[in-house]
Amino acid sequence: MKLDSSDRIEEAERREHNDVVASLDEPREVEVSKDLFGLKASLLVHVGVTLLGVIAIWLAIDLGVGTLGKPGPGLWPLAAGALMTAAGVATIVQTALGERVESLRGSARPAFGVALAIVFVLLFSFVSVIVALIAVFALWTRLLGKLPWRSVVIWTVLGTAALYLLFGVLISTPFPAPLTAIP
Amino acid sequence: MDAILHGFGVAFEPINLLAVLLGCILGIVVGVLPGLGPITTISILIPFTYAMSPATAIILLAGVYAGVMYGGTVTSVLLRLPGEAASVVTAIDGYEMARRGRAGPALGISAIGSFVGATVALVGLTFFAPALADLALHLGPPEYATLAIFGLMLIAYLGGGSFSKAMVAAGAGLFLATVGLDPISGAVRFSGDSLQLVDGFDVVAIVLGLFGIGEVLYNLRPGSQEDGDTVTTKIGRVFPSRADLRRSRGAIGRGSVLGTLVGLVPGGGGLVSSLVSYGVERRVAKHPEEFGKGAIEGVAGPETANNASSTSAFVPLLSLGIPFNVTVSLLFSVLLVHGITPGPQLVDEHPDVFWGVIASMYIGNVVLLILSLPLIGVFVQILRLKFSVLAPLIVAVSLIGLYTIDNNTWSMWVAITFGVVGYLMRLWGFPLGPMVLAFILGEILESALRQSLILSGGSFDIFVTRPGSLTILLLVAAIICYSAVSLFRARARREGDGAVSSESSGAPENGPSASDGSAPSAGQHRLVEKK
Repeated sequence: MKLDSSDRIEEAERREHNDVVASLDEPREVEVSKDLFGLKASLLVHVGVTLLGVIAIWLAIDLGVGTLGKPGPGLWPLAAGALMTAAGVATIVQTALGERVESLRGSARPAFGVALAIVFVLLFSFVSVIVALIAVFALWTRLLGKLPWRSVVIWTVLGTAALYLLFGVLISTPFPAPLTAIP
Repeated sequence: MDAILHGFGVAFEPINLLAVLLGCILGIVVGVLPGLGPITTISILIPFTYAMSPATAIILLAGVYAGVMYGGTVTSVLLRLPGEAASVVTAIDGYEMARRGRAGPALGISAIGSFVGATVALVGLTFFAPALADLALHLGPPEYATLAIFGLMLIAYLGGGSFSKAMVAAGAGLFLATVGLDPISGAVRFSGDSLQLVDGFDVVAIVLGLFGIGEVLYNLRPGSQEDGDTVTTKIGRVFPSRADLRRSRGAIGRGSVLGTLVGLVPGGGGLVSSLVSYGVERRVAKHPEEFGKGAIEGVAGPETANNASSTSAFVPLLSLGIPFNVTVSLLFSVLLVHGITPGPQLVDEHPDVFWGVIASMYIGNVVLLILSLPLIGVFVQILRLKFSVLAPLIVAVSLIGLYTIDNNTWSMWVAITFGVVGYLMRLWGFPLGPMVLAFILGEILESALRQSLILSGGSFDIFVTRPGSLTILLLVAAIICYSAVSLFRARARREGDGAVSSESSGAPENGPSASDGSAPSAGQHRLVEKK
């Protein structure tokens, strides 16, 4: 059977592809280890979640549930709280049967991220948007990103300028604090 | 026909064309960046859309959504790091193709499949949404209440992980939605002394907190950051060969139909459709042994399906007024902010929005195809941006963006609080999607349920005496029974194995939740292929 040129190219491509496929290893498996809480801590998480549901029920009843024909403002929150509680109990049972949740180990960096976000809002509210942007970019890229100082300066200047242009100039946002305040 | 032509008239207005173009480019860029998903991006952009017309706002955000779906593929193929949840499946064979020097054809077939899939779904949307809207005019509060419950249940079920944890999240979302004014009695609920809480929580603050800041915090954990990943893969020729196209055409055809149908099901968009498509392709393949080793069908099918499903997910929003996934629910919120209530009347009362959005999606689809193939090399350069630079940018833009909504720092504090909540939820395996969706559906559900009870004089019979609501309730019961049976079977299997699998813990690393649509972290994608 005579092949035309395009078929020959396809055939060659297919052969090349098959050769490469055969020459490579199996797909790589990457192991990821997880730190899991033990039984008590896992139970504590799920009991806590269930308690939130119980609190929701309590608040709903306090609001006034009414009747099915004349539902009060608390009827629907009561249903939501009941769903949370029932599902929460199911998670407790699952935990008792052997399921575990991830531990908080490794949460120091996320906690620092939260702290930076809080610092940002405080500076934004009471000092200056520019100071807030400089602080969050510099601290984040240096302390969390571990970038060299040169990169920290470049990204801080670029990020601050870009966001100030976007929100301050383009959208004319009335910022809560003066733009150029010195901390 | 006149209606869709009118839609194209709206879509071709310069501002709307610009919105499509901007949305698609932004979407691809964001999709390429690991750690940012469509939900976070759309949430960040919502404050910027308040000054736009409703049609322009939705056109921009729909463009972002479509762009993200494609952009996520680039990192899946090149780094095995899905930019968004729906691309997780593509990472399996796409990455293997890249390892064999075939990154170009993998990305090329993804673009082509995405275009075909989204076009098929758009045709379905054009014809199916108005018909469904007509039908929906006959639905009453009992049907809406049961439909919303059905949606929530299915989203919780399809979301992966623990069903009970998903229901805890849904319950929390429903409760949060009740904070503020009671829509029927006008009573103020759970606001304490806070004036801000009288209006309830702002959905954008909650979503940006859970998905935006929560995502950043989650990626700060040791070992989660993508810093240090650099692009070493040579892209090569992007256009697939004729042999590739021949092998892929069946997968693309099946993926288009399958994705369109799955997208109509609550929680069916994105990851679920691509997973189903991958399973189907492996089953029908002549050489199933090539799956996992770089089979192009394993890229073409899922990519087609996820784009088709993300498009057809607009059908329930535009026709019923009920969003069935988190991303679409954000568009629902944007319409509400603009004073438009999505629902069966949308097509008649706001044809500019209804048909303009559909027409712009056709245009966006073409724009994506034109942009994605020749510009793949350019978009890949974005991958060089380090997460440690991106993270403060996401946090600062999210927080200042929230401030611009009402020039008040209250929403910023709410977002930080929910950022912490989102971090803990992800850490402990509580899916975020059901919580946000329940929060958004909460008001519809409460109003419909209470109206139904008032209509029936307090009797639940109204839900079982109407054929529509009875059918939906039976489906809900079936989901609960199936879920319970699956749980017991899994338990029995685990006992048989004598080991506690990490999957049952519901920890988020077992793969991203389908209903979340959040960008998976580095840890997540690596575990997916172990399942």
